[in-house]
Order: sequence, then C-alpha cells, then structure tokens
Amino acid sequence: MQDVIKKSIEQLNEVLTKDKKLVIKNSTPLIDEKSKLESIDIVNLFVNLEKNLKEKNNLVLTFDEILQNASKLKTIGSLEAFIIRKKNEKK
Amino acid sequence: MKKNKISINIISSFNHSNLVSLLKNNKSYDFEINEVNYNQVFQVLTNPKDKIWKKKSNISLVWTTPEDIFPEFKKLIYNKKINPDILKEQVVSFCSYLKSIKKNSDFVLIPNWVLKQPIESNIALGYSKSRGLDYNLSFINYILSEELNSEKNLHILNTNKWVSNCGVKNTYNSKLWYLMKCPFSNDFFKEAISDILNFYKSSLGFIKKLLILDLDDTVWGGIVGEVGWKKLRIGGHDYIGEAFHDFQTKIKSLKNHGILLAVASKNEESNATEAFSKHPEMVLTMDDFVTHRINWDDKAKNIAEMVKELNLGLQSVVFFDDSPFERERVREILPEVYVPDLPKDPTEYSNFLSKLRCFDLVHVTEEDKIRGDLYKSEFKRKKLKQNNKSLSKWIETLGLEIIIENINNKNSPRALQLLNKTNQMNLSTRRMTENEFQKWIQKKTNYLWTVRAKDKFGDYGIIGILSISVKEKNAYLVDFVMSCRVVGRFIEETIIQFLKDFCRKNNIKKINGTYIKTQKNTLCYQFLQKLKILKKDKNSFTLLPSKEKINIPNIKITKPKMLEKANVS
Repeated sequence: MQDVIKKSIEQLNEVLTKDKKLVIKNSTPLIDEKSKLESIDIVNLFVNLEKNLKEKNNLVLTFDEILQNASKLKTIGSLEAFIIRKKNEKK
Repeated sequence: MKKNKISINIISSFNHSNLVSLLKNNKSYDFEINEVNYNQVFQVLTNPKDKIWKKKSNISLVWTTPEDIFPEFKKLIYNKKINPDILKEQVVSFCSYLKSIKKNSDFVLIPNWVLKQPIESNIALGYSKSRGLDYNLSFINYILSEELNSEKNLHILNTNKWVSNCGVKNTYNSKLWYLMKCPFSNDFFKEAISDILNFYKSSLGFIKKLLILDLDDTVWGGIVGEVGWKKLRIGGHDYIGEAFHDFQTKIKSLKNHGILLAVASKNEESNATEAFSKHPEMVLTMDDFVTHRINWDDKAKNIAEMVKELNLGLQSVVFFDDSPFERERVREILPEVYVPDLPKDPTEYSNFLSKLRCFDLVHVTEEDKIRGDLYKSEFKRKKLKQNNKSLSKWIETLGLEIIIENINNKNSPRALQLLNKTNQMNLSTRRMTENEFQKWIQKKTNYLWTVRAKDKFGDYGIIGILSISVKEKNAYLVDFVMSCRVVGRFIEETIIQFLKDFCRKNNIKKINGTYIKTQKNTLCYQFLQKLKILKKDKNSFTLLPSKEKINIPNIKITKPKMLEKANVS
C-alpha cells in the first residue's frame, strides 16, 4: 500500500465513528454500494489525499478528476491503481 | 478504562461535523454532544426553549465567523465602507445573547473571531478604521473581550494561537470550505479540542502545581561546576544565552501565577547558589524556589523528598531536565510525575514550555500569586516548631490569627478553588463548577464561610472553607475543607468551634454530617476521630452546639456578624 493512501485513510479514520472506520486493505469499499462512507467522509478522504499527494509526490489531483473517475474508485485497491496511473502519466 | 464524561453543546455558523467526529473519537473523554445544524446561531441563542437547552451541559461552545453573523462586518469583504458604531452595536448585541445562555451550562466557551477563509487585505487599507478587515477584526475581538470580561463562566478561547500553532496554510482548506462549508482543517480542530479539554480540566483544578528544574543546560547553558558562573550562557550577546534568559523569564511568570518552583540538580550547592546570586543576567533567584536539592544523590529520591516536604501529590509535579538519562530514571521510579522530553535545542525551550498547557489556570487568585512565599513562611514555622516542644506553646509563639468571612465576590474564586482542589482534609470532596457553586451559595438556607489565617511569618491566605445547609432547627455540615499545609495547628478545631457558636446563637440544635470516604481523605477521618464525634457507623456524626467548648490554645479570631448572609453575584 502506498504511504500517501495509508496516511490519508488514517487521517480519515480520525473523524469516522467506530463502525465506519476503514480497514486498510485493497478490498475495502470506498465509493461503492457496500461502502459505509457518506459524502462528507469522501470529501474528507480526498482532501487528505490531495494534500498528501502534493506534499509527498508533488502530484496535483483535482477534485473534478476524482469526481469524473468516481466509478473507478470502488475500493482502496482501485484508488491505489488510479493514483499509480496518475503518477505514470505525469512521468 | 472508563472515560470521564463531558456534555457539550455546539452552536456554530459553519459545518462542524468534523469537530464533532474528532470529539467523539477522543481517547480520554467521553463527549456527550448536543448540536444544532450550522448557521442557526441566532435562532438558538435567542430561543430559551430550544431543545439544546433542555438539559444543562458542562460546556456550550459558540463558534462563529464574523462574516456570517455581523452584516456590517460582511461589507468589508466587498471593500465597502462601514460604520464602526453599527458594527459595535451588532457585537454588543451578540454578546448579550451569549450572556443570556450562561445559565444553561457550566461554561460558555467562545473562540475569538478569525476569518473563515484567509484574505490578504489591501496593503494600505488593512488597518483603515472604516474599510480595514484587520482593524475591524481586532476591533470586534476587543469588544467581545470587554463585554465578557466580568462574566464568570463565559470564556474566550484564543483562536489566533491555534492558527499560529497550525500555520495559516494548515488552518484553512478551501476544498473543505467550498464542498462542506467547513472553513477549518482537522489539525486546527484538534488544537481547539486540546484547549477545550485543558480549559475544562483546569476549571476542575486538575493542573500541575510544582515545576522541578535541573540547572546545567536546563535553566542556563553550560555546566557551572566546570566552567564557573561567569562563563554560563545566560543573556548577553549570545543566541543560546538569550534563549535561556527567555526560558527563565517564562518560568518566573509561572511562579507569579502560583506555580511552585524547585530545583533538583547534581551539583555542588555552593556553585549553583553562587551562579544565581552573582550572574548579572540571571532572571531566577534562589528565592524563587520553594525548596531545592542540589547534591549528588539520586534525583528521583530528591524529588520524592521535596514533594513530601511540600505536602503535595506526585501527580501534581512536572520535572524538567535536559538529560534523557535523568528523565528516564525519574519516570521509572516516580511514574506519577510528568516528565516531558525537552527539545534538544535550547532555543525551543521557551515555546515548548508555553505549549505544555498543564499550568494553565482559569482564575488566578491572590493566593496563587504569593503561593511560593506562603510555602517559604511555612518552612520558617516548621523550624520554630522544632524549637518548641509543646504544640500549644508553639501556636502561641506563632501569634496565629484566624479570620472567618462570609462568602463574597472577592473570596469566592479561592473558595471554589479550595473546594475543587483539596483532597486530604475534605469531608465530602464535593466538586463543583462555578455556576453550581454560585447557585448553591445563593440559596437562603445555605451558609458558606472562608477561613484565612496569618501569623508573625506572614499571611497564609484563604486556607479553608466551611459550609452548612440549615433545615428547621438542624444544620447539615456540607463542606469542611482545609489546605493540608496548615493542618495540625488548631485551625480545624477553631473552625468547628466557630460553627458550634454560630449554631448556638441561631438556635440550631444539632449539626449533622457525613464523612464521605475517598482514597485521599483519611486525614479528615482522623480529625473526626480526634473530636470523638463519629457514630457507630463510623461515617456520620452529630455536633451539639450547646455542649462544652473544644480546648483550643490562645488564638485570635475575627468572625463575621452572625446570621449575615453574603451577597454574591
């Protein structure tokens, strides 16, 4: 698991109630019917992710990009794949 | 472990869901949160029947941003000219709403105003009276402070400190604002929660009382035994010296707020005292320390001795030492002592101390300001006691005088402090918030007195409280509280005799009471045993005012007029 994703989810867990806290593994649902996250939690997650990616990888990820790709971000694993793709595109 | 409960009402002009979540996830406290939808501030403050006020809470947090609640202030965002009088009126009116809710919780906390999003104001106009954002932000905060200054349970939290600790960049997040209408980051909310908790703990008397300091490379740069006092780095044209100078200044300011200072240093005592007395840039003097152990013994042993000597609990002690070895040793032997890891760089010491927050007081009483001197006088008394074999003779030599006063505006902060902080000589260990306390003393059938004492060595300050609740011809002793540093010099007997006299003169036949056992108040139980008044159940007792007087040596007593009820607001 990439550090930025791990850190962003840990930060999100700080504001999630016990029953909603995310287990950090590839199959954990994010933007999916099975997900326990509400829209406010998704905003928190991507705000964390955006900040951490900018600080650690100098990668700018806009919220529009996330919204456009929401259907591909069903799980933590697919989020990771998405970030790797963005990094490669940058190269 | 079971967490302590705090009930909190949250009223804000922005989306505070992240703040709520962080409170709910707090590891030390169980927050019972009552919130209203954001931007309902005026509706809630002006409606005493709103459901949020149904149950009294510990804290009401009213957090607003000025653009949202003051129309006149909002004009500044559009660079419009404003009328300062109208703005002032709006702020004063908002403050009157705040005052109207003070009865609904123990404390109303109001973070001072900062903008909801950072705006770089016009270089020339920032401090213009009629157009400047910066000027008017300071102006409204000034009015807020002026308006709430005399309110006992309304407190302003320093939001600017949180901004400073987080940095502007980490305080705000434009995404959170535009997507959620939440102006502040979670790091910023964490700062707020830390201050709310520190405030609450401090209001209940959970603060540290004694700061024990190492000397070499802790309060000055260098090892005095090696370089001599002249070459110590303190003050002067030296950045390290200046840092130590500032650190000592901050320590001295703690002393002026009632925190006791002591020294635990491995040194030759003569070298250390010489440095304090001769170095021209030294801020602290040996007189600032209530006690010291400057020798080559184990520091943990020295600390334990000093704490015992001062009659304090280890949990009220903080130890500062630059040496990780000494810190670890003290942590291991005395785990109750708080031993923070000092930064390696002395230029950070001063800020580090400011951020600890464990010494923050909600009120600073007169006794707090002179606490160090009070302890010093106490040492002189103890010395005199050693020379006088008979206790009564010693008391007479002291020239002890006891002043009993009705509760009033002046002595009530100290009375509340004693009630909440005293453990050992405390009959019922009743803990109260300021609001509860005020309410209790306002009741016509309740009487509360403070006890002050002085002798030839100085004023002890207010060292005790006594309270009763009267019903028909019977009194119930509610509080019998005395600072343990004065126990054993007939003050406790004198207070009881005063109570008996009061009741006799007011036709009260019986004084009943119950000793409520805690882990720390055996001292009080021993006193009751000494009076021989405990019943068979070993907890309840009855004092008969008409019965014979308690045998007390010659002590001067000043009492209030009988039956006079203090007017405390």
